[in-house]
Amino acid sequence: MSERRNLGVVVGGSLAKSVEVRLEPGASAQLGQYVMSPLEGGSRLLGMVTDVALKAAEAGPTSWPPPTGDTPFAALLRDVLLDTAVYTQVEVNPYLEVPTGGGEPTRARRLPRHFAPVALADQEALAAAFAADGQALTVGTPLGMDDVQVWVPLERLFERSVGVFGKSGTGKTVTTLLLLDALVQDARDRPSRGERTVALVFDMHDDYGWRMKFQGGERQGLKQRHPAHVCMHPLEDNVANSDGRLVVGTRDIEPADLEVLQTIGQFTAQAIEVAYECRDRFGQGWIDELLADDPSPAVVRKTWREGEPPEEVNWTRVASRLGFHSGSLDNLRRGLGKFRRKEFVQSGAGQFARVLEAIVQELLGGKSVVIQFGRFGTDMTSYMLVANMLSRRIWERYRAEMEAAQGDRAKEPNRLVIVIEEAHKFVDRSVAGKSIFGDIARELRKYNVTLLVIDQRPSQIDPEVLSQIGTKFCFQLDSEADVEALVGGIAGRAGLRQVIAALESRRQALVFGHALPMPVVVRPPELAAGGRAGATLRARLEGNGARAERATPAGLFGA
Amino acid sequence: MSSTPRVVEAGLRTFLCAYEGYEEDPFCLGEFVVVREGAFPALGVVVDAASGPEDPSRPLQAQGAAGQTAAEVLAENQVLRLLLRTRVTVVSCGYVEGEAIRPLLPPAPPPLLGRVEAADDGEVKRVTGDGAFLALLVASPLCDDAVVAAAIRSAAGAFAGEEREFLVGTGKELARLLKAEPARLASILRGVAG
Repeated sequence: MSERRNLGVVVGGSLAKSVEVRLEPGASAQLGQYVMSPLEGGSRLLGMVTDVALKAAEAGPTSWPPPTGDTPFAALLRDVLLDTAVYTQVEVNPYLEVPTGGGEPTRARRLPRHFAPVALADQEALAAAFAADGQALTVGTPLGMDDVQVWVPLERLFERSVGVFGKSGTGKTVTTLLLLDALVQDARDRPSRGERTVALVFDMHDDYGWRMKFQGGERQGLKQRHPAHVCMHPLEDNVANSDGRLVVGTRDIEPADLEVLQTIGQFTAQAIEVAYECRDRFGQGWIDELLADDPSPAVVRKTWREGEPPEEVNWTRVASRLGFHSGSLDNLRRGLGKFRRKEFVQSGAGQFARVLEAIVQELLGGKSVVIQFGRFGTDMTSYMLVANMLSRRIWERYRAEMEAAQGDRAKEPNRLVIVIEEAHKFVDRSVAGKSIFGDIARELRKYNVTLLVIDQRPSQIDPEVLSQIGTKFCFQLDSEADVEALVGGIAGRAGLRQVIAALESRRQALVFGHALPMPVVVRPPELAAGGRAGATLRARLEGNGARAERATPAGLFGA
Repeated sequence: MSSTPRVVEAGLRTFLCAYEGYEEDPFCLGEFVVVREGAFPALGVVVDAASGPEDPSRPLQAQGAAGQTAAEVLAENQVLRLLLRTRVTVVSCGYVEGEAIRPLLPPAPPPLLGRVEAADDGEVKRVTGDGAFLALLVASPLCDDAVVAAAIRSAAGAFAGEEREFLVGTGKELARLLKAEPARLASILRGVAG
């Protein structure tokens, strides 16, 4: 079946805003579709439809529209007026100039002339625009172009932070799993550990580790798909296929770990100050000391070093001696008490240091790690505590490794992508400066660590952090503030706002940013039932009896 | 039709033709006619037809017995027919140049006493096919909405099997010409749709 590709002609516009295209009679266009138009000199302009408007050449026909009904006169008048007195016009955001016959696409700096023909972009133009060297993954098919795949170079995708945004149930988790699966598959295919990009996934709802449950059924998680290349550390006890339970000792928790929890843990600012003071004064066991009913002799000794302690020693007197209001100390003790009651927090040193070291070695060894929260995933405090504690310490290790490498690429650690959900809780305006994730986002690839953030409320994320996210996958969002937060500062953002507003509620996303030459609305690939996403590629490679050094772009997710 | 009308007044935009006497069945309103004589055979649309005395100073008196029809009265008074004339006003809408028919004003008026004949379907299709003939009609003070509608209806008859496409295409051309006059457009199309 030959698809109609001619749409209309250019009738106006500007590079700064959009190109106006009047549609030919009978032609139609959808938001997010790609179109192209010839430029002088043989290139083609590639752009995206960002608005569709019904227009009238004069006010008359809309002031006195044809009568409804099927009388010969009404039918004739309607047919006559359509596409003459009234017509459809689309706005096209110009993005790229694609040279005809090959060549590197460049950012659009020219416009077609008036009345230049405009047609739906063909596969050749899109292939040129989205050409990817080396390992690439498809993020789906552009709207209305089921025969075209959009490829994103993996290297470029993860060299900066990535964001997956959208309402609940729009497809964020499936897309994230597909991205991670491609990442692990790519790591498997690289012989050198240093070349591998690995992921540290804080899996709030147990979606990525062993199996994933979603509206369409159940799919294999990363550990099932790549058992030798993915490690799973649960917070719960007795979890099958675990590579070691993660237990946090009270001696492992530092005041800096609490600082980011100030809001969600209901700590006052003064309580955090008290925590720092107690850590300094009482040492690594400060939490166990504070959780005792009465101050221990060690606490008394360290509090009244230069004088006799009072006859009756209690926490109120300790607070007073340290120069704090007793209410602040009570607030801190209450909060710490809540932590202590969690099953994965134990008094003393616990196994944290050992598991932390194991995780670091796994990551540096080229394996990805999934931290499964199990039933603790519904408790945001637990999630934030563990994610912050681990990330802070791993980040410090990576930073040390990078500094020790002194620019020698062979000695640098492999690239790490930290995956966090409900990201706005970590990097909102109030805590972005205190959170390790704010630092990671800002420092970007300086230390080979980037973020993959998954969130429903991008407007709550600190703008400075959001601006550092390189590639954004934007599913349906209702809030204007959320949409504005994502497209603010981007050329043609008015049009992109329209596109996001028109996204379907499931499996439709606008992808834009660092890894792509221009924004694209795609229908992400389905997560195949019963099999792993990369199965087709692997089967093809192994079936040929050869192990390709680099997988071709033709199908990380199969045909 | 008993006789062939001839051009009796000729201009670039309009020409008047007359029958030798009174004609009960002259060219119809909106009918396409052609004068195939002269350097540039001219095509036009009938915009008016009128019958009356040859000498305006001698008006026709009502006559005939009660119950007689017009035909019976004329049959009884053969001389009357010679004293009466039927005249048809035509607005130019194209001309023939070599093999081409151009929907434009003719470079020269049709010759006086040139024979005026009904255009055949081929000529009508060629002069009306692209809708350009409408510009001359719409611009003429002699063409009111009824005339334009009649002309379109008449032309549609030449497009057997494709009338609807012709009507819509012509209507679109008319919509462009009358973009500031939606009421007039609607009035004409109402006349076309019948």
